[in-house]
Amino acid sequence: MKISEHWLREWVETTVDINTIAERITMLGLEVDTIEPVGGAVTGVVIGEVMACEPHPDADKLKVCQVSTSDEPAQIVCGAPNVAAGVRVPVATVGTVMPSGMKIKAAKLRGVASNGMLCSAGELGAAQDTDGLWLLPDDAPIGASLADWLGLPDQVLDVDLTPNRGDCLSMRGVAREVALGLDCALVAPVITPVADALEAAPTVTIQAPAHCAAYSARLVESVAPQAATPLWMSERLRRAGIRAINLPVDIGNYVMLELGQPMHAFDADRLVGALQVRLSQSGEQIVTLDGETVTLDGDTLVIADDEGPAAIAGMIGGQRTAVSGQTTRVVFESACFRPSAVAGRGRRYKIHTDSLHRFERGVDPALHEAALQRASGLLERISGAVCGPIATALGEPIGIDARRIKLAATRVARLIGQTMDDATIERVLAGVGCEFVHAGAGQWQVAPPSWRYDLAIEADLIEEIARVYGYDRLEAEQQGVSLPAVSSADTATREADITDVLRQRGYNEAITYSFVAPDLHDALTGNAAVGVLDNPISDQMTVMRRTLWAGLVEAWAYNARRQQSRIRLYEHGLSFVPDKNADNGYRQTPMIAGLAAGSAVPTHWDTPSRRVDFFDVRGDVEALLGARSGQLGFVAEPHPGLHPGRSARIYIGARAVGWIGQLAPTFARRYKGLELAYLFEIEAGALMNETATRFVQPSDQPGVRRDLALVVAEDIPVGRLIQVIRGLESPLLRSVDVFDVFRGQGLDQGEKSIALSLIFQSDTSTLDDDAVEGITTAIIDALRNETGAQLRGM
Amino acid sequence: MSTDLESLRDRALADITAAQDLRALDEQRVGLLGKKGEITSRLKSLGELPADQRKAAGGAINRIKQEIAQAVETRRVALEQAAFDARIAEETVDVTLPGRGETPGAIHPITRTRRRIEALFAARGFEVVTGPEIEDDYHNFEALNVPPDHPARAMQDTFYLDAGRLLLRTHTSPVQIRTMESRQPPIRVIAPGRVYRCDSDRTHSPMFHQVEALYVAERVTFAELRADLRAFLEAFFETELKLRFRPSYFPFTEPSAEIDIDGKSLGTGSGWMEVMGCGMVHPNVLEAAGVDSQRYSGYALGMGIERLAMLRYGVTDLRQFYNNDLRMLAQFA
Repeated sequence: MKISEHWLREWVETTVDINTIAERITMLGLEVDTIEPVGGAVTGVVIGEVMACEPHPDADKLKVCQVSTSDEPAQIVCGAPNVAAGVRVPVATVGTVMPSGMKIKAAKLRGVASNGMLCSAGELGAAQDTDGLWLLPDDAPIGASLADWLGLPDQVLDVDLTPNRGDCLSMRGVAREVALGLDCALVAPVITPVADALEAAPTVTIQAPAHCAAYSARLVESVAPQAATPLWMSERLRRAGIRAINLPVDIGNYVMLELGQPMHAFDADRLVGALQVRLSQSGEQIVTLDGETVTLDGDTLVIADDEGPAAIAGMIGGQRTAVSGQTTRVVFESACFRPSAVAGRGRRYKIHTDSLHRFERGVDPALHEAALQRASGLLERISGAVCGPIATALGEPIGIDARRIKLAATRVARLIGQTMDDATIERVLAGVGCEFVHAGAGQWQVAPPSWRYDLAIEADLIEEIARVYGYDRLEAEQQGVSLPAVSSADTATREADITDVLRQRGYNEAITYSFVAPDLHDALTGNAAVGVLDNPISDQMTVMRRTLWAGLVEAWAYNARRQQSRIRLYEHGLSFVPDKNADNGYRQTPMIAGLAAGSAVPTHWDTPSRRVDFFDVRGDVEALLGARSGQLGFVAEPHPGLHPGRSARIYIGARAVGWIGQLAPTFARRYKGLELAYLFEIEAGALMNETATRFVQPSDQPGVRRDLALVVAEDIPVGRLIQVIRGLESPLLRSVDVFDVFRGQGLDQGEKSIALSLIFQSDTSTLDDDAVEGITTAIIDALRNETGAQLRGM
Repeated sequence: MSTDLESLRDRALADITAAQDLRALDEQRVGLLGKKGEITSRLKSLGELPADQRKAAGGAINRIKQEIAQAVETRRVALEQAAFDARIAEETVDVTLPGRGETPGAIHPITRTRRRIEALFAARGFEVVTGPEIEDDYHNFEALNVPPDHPARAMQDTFYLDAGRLLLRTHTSPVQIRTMESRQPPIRVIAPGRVYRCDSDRTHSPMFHQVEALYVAERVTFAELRADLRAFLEAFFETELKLRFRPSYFPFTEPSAEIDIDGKSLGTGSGWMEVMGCGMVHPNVLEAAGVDSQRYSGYALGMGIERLAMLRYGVTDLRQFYNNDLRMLAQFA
């Protein structure tokens, strides 16, 4: 809401400066974003007309002008590109001090006398740009003071109103708050009813009384066609950000800005029959003032005549009945539509107007007739029109003034934490326009004013008391905090600890968007089902990620293209998987994902450089499980986003919890010139310890190591050998480690040699060779039977 | 002393001095002073001399023996020192060369800030709770006193999905509702997480992070909210702050306020900077979540993590938080 200071000062009796006013209403909840100058104090600047404009004899870019003001014509040399004979412009006469501080003196420019200066809007502090003269309208009164004529000096306060304060969408509303904040008088203009000079009145009926509390209309005749809107009015509209259109429309907008009542003007000669306030029929059409054809739903309130909709109620008028330059007979509308009757319709039809903005937030139901008097009075005064009687139809009342809210001083104290005395409470209630009666000691029955739709319950009144008293004047008191035990399972390994492991292993934390590019996501997931946004912000952010890889891969490419040779990133966040059995149809699972690319180790003078490979990343995943890494299983399974020979599904026990592998070679086209990254992703929940550790006393008995070199077929995974060994469930076997994998000399094609070290240990006794031999033999036999493994060299 | 003995001594001393290492020196020592050494042999052969000469000759040989032993010892010390020096020289490293091993990665500044906020609230008994990011209209709006078509919906441009059936939560406030639905007061929780709004420029990101705090119990007051917030902000920024509580509007709180910090008190320049919103939980919200609003009151507050991170770390463009540039992240390692 843009508020002209000049106009505001007509409404409030105060001499305090504008910054204080702004600060005060900001602290009442009407936040002033900016204070922009409209124009400075330009005493000495008058309106002049350029009578003649000749080239300067000695300068190409200068013109010698004869300028008429109230006095003798003055000769002024001017260099503006748009100077020409006949234009009316601001003239700074000799002696004027410009807003910049420059004093205008009589001077000679290249030998030609110049007595004054023709001004741009910028030079007068009325606009940012200084490009050319400020061309004034042709009816600007020659010789008049520019400041008087424009209402200067002036500044515009941009007030950022919250949606609950629809009552402040007018000069009247803001002035009320200023008067409240400064404790000064509010001076509302006196609205004199316009006498009925005509007999004719519009016929109005309300067929949807639940949606429209009141509808008033008045016929105004003998409107001078193309009557000009006076400058003071168009200036006030301009400063509020509204463009002048024609007199009846401008008056409607002016009254809306002044009082907060949206108005509409119909061309009476284009209306056919009676005005009806009714709900639209589904499929009915209206061409709006903007020229858009809108097809209406069945529940939109319209103002219709016998020809069909003439306006969408409270939103926008129709072209068919619009006021034009030829209009001489006007029907003014001033109505009170219920907020629910218009709410949401703007979004539905993609129309937003100042009128709708106010009706959505609630327009004072006590205002419509006064506003109509105001508008018709202005039209009468400015264009000599004559008015007929006001026709009013009533629907169901809005009922704000029927509200009775119980307020207790004890409740005030209990919510804000401080006792407020009765006098303070009553002063605030009266100040915001409430009426009240005592209902026992420290209790009131409160009737909020008709314009305050937002005062509905006791807490709303308590807020009024707090904000008018001043939040910062209230006490602030920290209570003695009794600390309840925050439940935090001793066993839970939290996100911080888990991700700490990754950071210690060189991974940087990334945060990427939850919505990702559909083609990339399809490629990574094999076109898996996915949640799609209805209204994405860009076509690269349309689908809700099932995998965090989509973001990490893009972050990798971003960094790789910026010469980062070693990239390790992780992210912790939700994946979104459509699942009809889940709440709202989506499984939203916290995941931890990582990406590694480039060198396996940081560049170092004494460490051989090596490219990252599957086993680096697998090691990182194992580290995430810490002491429980033995529960991890890695099974070669295909994944649409991963290299077919370098991908594995990650299991904990029998439960699939994630994936690991290298980005599929098909991505080489997308990421040209980059060596494809390795990725992993695992459910964060799977990494949390579910049970506390049960301590096991370490054995003091010596362990015995046996090494086995086994030759197996290439297609036998090493994991299978370990599985067979573990399957024997020997209580003495403590660990199995792979310490070599060898192919080549001494082996056949299609064979490999695997070296395993087995550690045996008993809890109770020193193992003898026979016992170890027995188990070892059993292991070798099992391996031979299950996998065809042979001891090397046998 | 005989010339013979004298030349032996001279030769022995020369050889000892010439010994280049401990082994060579030891060979010399054995050759002279060992069981079969030249000096030892001479002492052994004293018995062959006439008795009157034995004493003088014995004394001369013993003197030379002493002299040689002394020379061996001196030489040994010198050689050991040299060997030690050589070893040190050999073992000396260039301490200016870089160390070996992994460089730890960085924590994202948003996470760092979130953890800080969590820790400050945890110290006052607030438990961390989380909720879904794909939300339904009820939890994101209706239960928070924002019915359909309420103008307040225009304050938050919402991402919808599944033809408007669901939405991406526009704030962390739905976690308030979910928490109150599942337990009774006293409730003291904070809900950090991602939120989404359909808006993107230097100061708006379509995805950002909030922390919501909710405290519901008997007799929770606005005074307490104001005191707790000041305590939190001053702890977060580690300085005394000039704050103002500006009346504002949120459909789910009443009274509502926004908190502005005077930039001068933060050292970031002049003017008021909005940092968070807060208020007393609206009775309709308590009732919608099944909490008796006559018996209980509560406060709620919400802040943008990015906003606090930007102020604290001097990041000026919000979008920098999401390009995950390693050169930026590394500054937070």
